[in-house]
Amino acid sequence: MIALAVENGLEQLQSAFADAIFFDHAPIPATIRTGSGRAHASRFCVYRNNVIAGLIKAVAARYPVVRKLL
Amino acid sequence: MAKSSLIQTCRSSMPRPAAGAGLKPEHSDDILDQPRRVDFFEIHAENYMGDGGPPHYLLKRVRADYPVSIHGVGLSIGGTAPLDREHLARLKRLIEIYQPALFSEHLAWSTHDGVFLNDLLPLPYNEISLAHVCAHVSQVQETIGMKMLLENPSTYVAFGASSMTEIEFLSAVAQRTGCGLLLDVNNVHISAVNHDFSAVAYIDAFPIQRVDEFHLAGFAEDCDSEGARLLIDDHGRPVGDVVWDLYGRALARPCLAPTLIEWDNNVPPFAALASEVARARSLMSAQTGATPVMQAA
Repeated sequence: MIALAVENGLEQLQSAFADAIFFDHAPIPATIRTGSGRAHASRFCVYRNNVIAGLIKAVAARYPVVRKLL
Repeated sequence: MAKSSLIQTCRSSMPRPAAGAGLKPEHSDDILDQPRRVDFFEIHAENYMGDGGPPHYLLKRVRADYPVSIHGVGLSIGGTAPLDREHLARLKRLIEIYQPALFSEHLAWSTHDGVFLNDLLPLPYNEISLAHVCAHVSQVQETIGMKMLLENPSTYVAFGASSMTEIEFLSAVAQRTGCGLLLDVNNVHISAVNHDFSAVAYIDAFPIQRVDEFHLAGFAEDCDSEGARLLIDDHGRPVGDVVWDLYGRALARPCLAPTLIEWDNNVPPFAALASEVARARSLMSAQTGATPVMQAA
């Protein structure tokens, strides 16, 4: 059943990764690295920023009048 | 139309060498009214999945005069979930309508638990993720009836769960599925700096015979919280000199695949984009010893 455990691992990794993007309180996946060692949280935050900034941009483009009113 | 004749029709329409640009609606007047300055245009598939309106009006006019390449950003090839069949059906329809010379997607995931994350997220490279990616690539190719190209990502983190290199992973996908590869030279530079490996060694080791397209773009400089250099794939400025140098090295292997300039943020006037395209074309021509010539319309 090792393969199944690893399989679940990828599913769990993506689940944890997605949660950590959307929820500030969710832990950043412990398995992330850089080529030379442990990755700092600020690197993971690039993804968090890309997703949130992208969503803001999409809403702003879709609702220009609401944006002007804000 | 039979699959094989569709592929022949598609693949014969891209000139060699070819240098192209991303299609931006704000450039429509320059593209439609001015002399031809690029060899092809590339679109993001997801921007043309609506039924009609200005996007399709522009794209149909452009497609009448230029080869088109379609670049998907939302299939989530690296996701553990099954591919979204409705999304795939929309992609198939787009490909049937526009008969692109090339179709490409990313080695990344962007959907989880039915939620779409609008970014290209990284995955560990091991046998399990390889099996997922190969199954998805094969499903895409069977659905759309043409070869797809898989693009190397730019990444900000890597994974302890990886057991093979990115090049080993991409080579294995290409070998098992018959897909081509899209070598994004800017992504190579970004990942090389972010993960402290040699971009030159990566270019030299890449399975160049599988490369059917290059991407070039600009990157932004940043630092992580420890002060280490962190490059961001922002597509918001000219191609960096270091990336031009790496591109020249890839061309010299040799590989004269169609080359796209990506400039998606802070979109410049069309002339600035076209001059980047001309630079790519002249580097390709220098490889062949030919004078750069604009392809006839």
